[in-house]
Amino acid sequence: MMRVTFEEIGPRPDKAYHIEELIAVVMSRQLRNGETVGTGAGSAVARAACRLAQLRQAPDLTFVAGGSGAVNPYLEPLTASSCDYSNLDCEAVLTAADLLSSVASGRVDLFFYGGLQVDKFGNVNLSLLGNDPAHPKLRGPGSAALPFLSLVGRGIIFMTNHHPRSFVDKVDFRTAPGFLEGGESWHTAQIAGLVQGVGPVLVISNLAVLDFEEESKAMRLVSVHPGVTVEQVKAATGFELIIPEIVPTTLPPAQEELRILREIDSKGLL
Amino acid sequence: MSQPSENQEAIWCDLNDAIPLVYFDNTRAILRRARRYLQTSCVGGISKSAGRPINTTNSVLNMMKGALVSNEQSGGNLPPKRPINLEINVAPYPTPVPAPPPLPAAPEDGRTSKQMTLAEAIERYVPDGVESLALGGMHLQNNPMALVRELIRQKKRINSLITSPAASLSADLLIGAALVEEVITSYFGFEHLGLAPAYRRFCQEGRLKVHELDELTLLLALRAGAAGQPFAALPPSIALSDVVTATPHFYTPVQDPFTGKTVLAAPPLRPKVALVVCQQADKRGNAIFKGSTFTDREMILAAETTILQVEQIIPTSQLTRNPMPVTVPGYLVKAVVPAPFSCHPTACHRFYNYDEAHLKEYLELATTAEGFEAYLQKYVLNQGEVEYLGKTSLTRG
Repeated sequence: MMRVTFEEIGPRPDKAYHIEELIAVVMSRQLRNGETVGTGAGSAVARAACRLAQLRQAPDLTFVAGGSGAVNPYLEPLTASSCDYSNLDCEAVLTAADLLSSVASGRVDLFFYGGLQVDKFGNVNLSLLGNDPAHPKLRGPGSAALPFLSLVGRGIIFMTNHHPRSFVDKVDFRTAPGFLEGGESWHTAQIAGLVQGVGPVLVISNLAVLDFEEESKAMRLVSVHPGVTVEQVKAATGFELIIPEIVPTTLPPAQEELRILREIDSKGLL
Repeated sequence: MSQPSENQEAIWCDLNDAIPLVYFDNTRAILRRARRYLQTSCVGGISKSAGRPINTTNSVLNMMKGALVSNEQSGGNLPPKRPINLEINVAPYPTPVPAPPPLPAAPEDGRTSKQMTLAEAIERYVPDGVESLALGGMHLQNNPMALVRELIRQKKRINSLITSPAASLSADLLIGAALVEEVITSYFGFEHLGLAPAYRRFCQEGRLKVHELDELTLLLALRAGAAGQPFAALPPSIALSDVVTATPHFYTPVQDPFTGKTVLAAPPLRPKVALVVCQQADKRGNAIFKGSTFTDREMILAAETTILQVEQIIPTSQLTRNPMPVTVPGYLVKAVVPAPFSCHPTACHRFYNYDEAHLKEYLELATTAEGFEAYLQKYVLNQGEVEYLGKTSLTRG
């Protein structure tokens, strides 16, 4: 994962923003009042997005920092891990068992997750690279809670490295099911009662925002981040994207959003 | 900076994260007394923070500092009502960490103490080639590092290593030391710091068998083990993931007797030994988690033998007065090993944070077999925990 640390780039100039800050703001705009959100390990961006939404449009949003099990942590100042003790400045603490059970039974509306690869139909791989699971070319972290996230209402995928190697035609290993092999297979799985949620709805990368076409469930470009061209996104994607006629620029963080975000992230982690 | 003498109560405080680096049995008493002292006798010290709860070590220490300063500045107009024998050494790091003071002898009430040394607990309760061993903690938190380092010193081989849903250093060290035959895990990495180097190396070289499960299946299998169930029935959506085909033994199709549909079932997990960290316990193994419990309680309940690594031994009388936080009863525990600071370099919830510099050193070294061996020689083999802690940033001046 590409990550620029605060030490490397020094203090931020007032008007500029980091790509992680843009991603957090875009994520935050997806959250609705009254929803319950789950975030996983190393998810500083996702947790910041949830807190930002709570402080802006969604005061009744509930979010759980996976690992520590903290419900609605007061993040300020944001730390790298959702498992840190610092998250326990919060409203309640769930055990891992209670949290996972409530995710599996559909009590969490939305989940942020990422992976080593994402494919055309939103399937995500966090397990391994290569075709033989017994002898992987690269052994990744593993499945965590990803395999049963299709039970969750909505999934938002974030990828910090938009590259043909990470945006692939078909994932080497389907850790988190997305729309499987496309619209038809998704429909079949729904009829078989294997899916209760609506699947992944959005992919946010360091270059663009993408979603999935209603019928075919194939990935479609929604907007490009400021300073990024459609051609760049095409070149960084390992399969043919659906490109609408008009591709707007991702709305950059408003001053107010950035101000609150930096209050949450007072140590400049993002 | 001076060493604390026996009758001088001292707290050394790392002001960067304000967690006392040296705990004495009476640390809590000092903080309590300091709090009372501030509330009763030094107005200047608390005026700024009045109205805010004084419930963290951090704020108490800051206030004590403020109190002492404002007392001086007041020109002695605010003399303490009663003298307090307290010294705060404000220095980035103390040198060196003294060995924890010997614990008082057990009261003569006829009950057996399970407290023992690290070497004794591992020698007695972990047979070589143990069938299955579960590791508590999660990610970079509460890894039972002292117990794991001792396993490596005693070269205990493990057939099946069961990790918490998110494994990191403790499991990676055992795998790197070539002690593990197969691993049952659901996530293995160092979060934002990167992938697990020894795990990755062993997998890619085909030297380690991996049973990859999703978190929920791992947890339900442990619960089934704890409850004596024949198997754990899994929620249907898991069938869509490739973990099902990669780890078929843990996702076996069975017929739902109520609907007739095919569902997946996982076998129960009953670890022979579980190594778990609790912040406090008495000598009988009645234990208190002072932070998140992760999947530690599920492991303790499923395991045949549990060894607890604890930060503080507390008298039984202290927990019987308020037993609600005691979520591990002693009858589930075989051994209690006091090992303060020994989750290092991982964190211990509420007590200390992880040592990122040390973890990065490990991540760099462990990418090669030679580097890993060098790490073991430097930090694990031929030394005890006190010597190990002496080499860490806890004591670097």
